[in-house]
Amino acid sequence: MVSYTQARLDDTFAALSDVTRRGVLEQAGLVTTEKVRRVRNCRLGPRRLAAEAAWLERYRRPWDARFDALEQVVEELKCKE
Amino acid sequence: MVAGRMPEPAPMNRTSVERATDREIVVTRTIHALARLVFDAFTRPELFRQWWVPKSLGLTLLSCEMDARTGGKYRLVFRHGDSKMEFYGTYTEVVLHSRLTWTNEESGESGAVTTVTFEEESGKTLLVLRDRYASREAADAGMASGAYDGMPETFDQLDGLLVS
Repeated sequence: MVSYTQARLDDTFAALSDVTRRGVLEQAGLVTTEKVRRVRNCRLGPRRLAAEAAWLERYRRPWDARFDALEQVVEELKCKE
Repeated sequence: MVAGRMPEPAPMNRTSVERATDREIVVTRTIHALARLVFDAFTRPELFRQWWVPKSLGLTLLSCEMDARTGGKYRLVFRHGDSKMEFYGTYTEVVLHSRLTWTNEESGESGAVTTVTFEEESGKTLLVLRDRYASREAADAGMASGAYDGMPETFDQLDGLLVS
């Protein structure tokens, strides 16, 4: 017999059964759903969370480099004062 | 291999990025200096050009004109390989040492409006940079153009330089 943490499963089910929340997740590409007769199947969508995180990281790194350089410039200003 | 000179690991995630809404991207960083110094580094061209384009990005800043007053204009010209790129716009709000808003007009209608706030606390400045786009599609495209692939080595080198 497979056992799940009941509370977490309930939360997930509640989120996915709510039409508004499901719409938000679908729109973000995080889940895809398909209705087969009376059953709606939900799957992780094309933009999975890991991909989303990697995407943000590629954007973050140049900003990090830029702000490191900014930190150096203001450090020099502090020394001059 | 250089023996006996291992760089200290740089603190992780000093800069954070969040997709605040589907058309808004927020970049946050704490800078260890007073707000007026950080503000100067954003608004004085001779300082701005020293940091806005770190060498690791492979771009050269050819010219940098900025008139950081409400209604003033800016124009940056970069060289990347054999091509030139221009970025320009208008400062729509300038509040001394606390807030800057500028438009990014080189992309036409799809360009973001950038707002930077400088919040000083205990001698440090919390920098929040917010790019607000007209649509979700424009935000996706803006993020794609601001992301650099295949450069982790370069960034590691930079981290090494900064901690040494």
